[in-house]
Amino acid sequence: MTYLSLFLAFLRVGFFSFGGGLAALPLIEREIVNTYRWLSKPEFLELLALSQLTPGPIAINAATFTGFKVGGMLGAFVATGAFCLPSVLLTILVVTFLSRFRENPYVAGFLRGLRPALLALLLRVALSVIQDGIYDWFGLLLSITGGALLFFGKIEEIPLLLLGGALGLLWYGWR
Amino acid sequence: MSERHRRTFLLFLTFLKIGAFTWGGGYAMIPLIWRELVEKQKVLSEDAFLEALSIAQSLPGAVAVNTASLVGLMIGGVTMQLLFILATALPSFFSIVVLAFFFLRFRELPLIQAFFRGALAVVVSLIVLAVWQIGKKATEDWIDLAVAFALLVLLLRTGIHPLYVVLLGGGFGVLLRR
Repeated sequence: MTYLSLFLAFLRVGFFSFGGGLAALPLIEREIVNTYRWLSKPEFLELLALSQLTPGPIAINAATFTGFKVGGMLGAFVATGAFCLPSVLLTILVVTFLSRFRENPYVAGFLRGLRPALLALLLRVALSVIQDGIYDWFGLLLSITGGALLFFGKIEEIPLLLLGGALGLLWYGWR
Repeated sequence: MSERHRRTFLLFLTFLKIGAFTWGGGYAMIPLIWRELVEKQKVLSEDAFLEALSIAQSLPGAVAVNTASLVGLMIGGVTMQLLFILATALPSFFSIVVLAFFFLRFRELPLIQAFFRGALAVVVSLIVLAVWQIGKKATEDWIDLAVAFALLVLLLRTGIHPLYVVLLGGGFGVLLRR
């Protein structure tokens, strides 16, 4: 039954994650933390950190990680496959009916309307990670400094993450 | 091995390489796919790639997976499509499986926890910055902002499933049709 739940959960995520992987995070969190309780909230946040440290789309990382934790290799395969399945089917559909798809005003309207929805979901992600990812003033300091360095292009993502981890090790590790 | 099989195999390797060397989410893959398929190997025209990219962004799912899927369909049909998706997902799949294997055993260790506290503080800034950049592109005018704000309040106050936010936004777009 676990495999079926994994399949259905990530199929839902795959079908409704408009706007790329980041926008899929609220959906993923809903399914794996709230509905099925496959990961705890802290584990979900650690998954975000792991996703940034590994190659590939964040939603694929999340599907593989959750599937692996719940059902081993087969679970990882089922979850990742279920997430990719809507992409396979919908792209075939679109390529087959390309001209009609583009010119239909209802389809165009729907797609245009997804933009504010995407912004709302993204803001929800930002608020949620700020709330849960920062424990104390040291974390806040690290986050603001890191954000500024990144914004002005002084450092890249992976070195920054490793640096943050190392500083965390020094600061939190001693106590 | 026939010429066609050899070409398919080479493209498979190309996508495998792109999947393995792009950190920081699927968007990072797009310029690499462009460089390899349009500029170097010339198996796809510029226009076809841009069309694939815009469709990929309007469909649900990971943008990189959608792009790989569409490009595969355009070049060589369903077989190529499935191969490209597989190649895009495999590096991510295996690196996460290896990491998860160790992580799930050692995550309780105080030192690992200390590392993640520091890394997570930085992940917060990564995500907030990405949200800012994507959000800026997604909205054009005050109607977009107002709808986004209303949906955000709805999401936070009522705790509805995020997929209803997607459907409400799309439905509102159909009503306005601008």
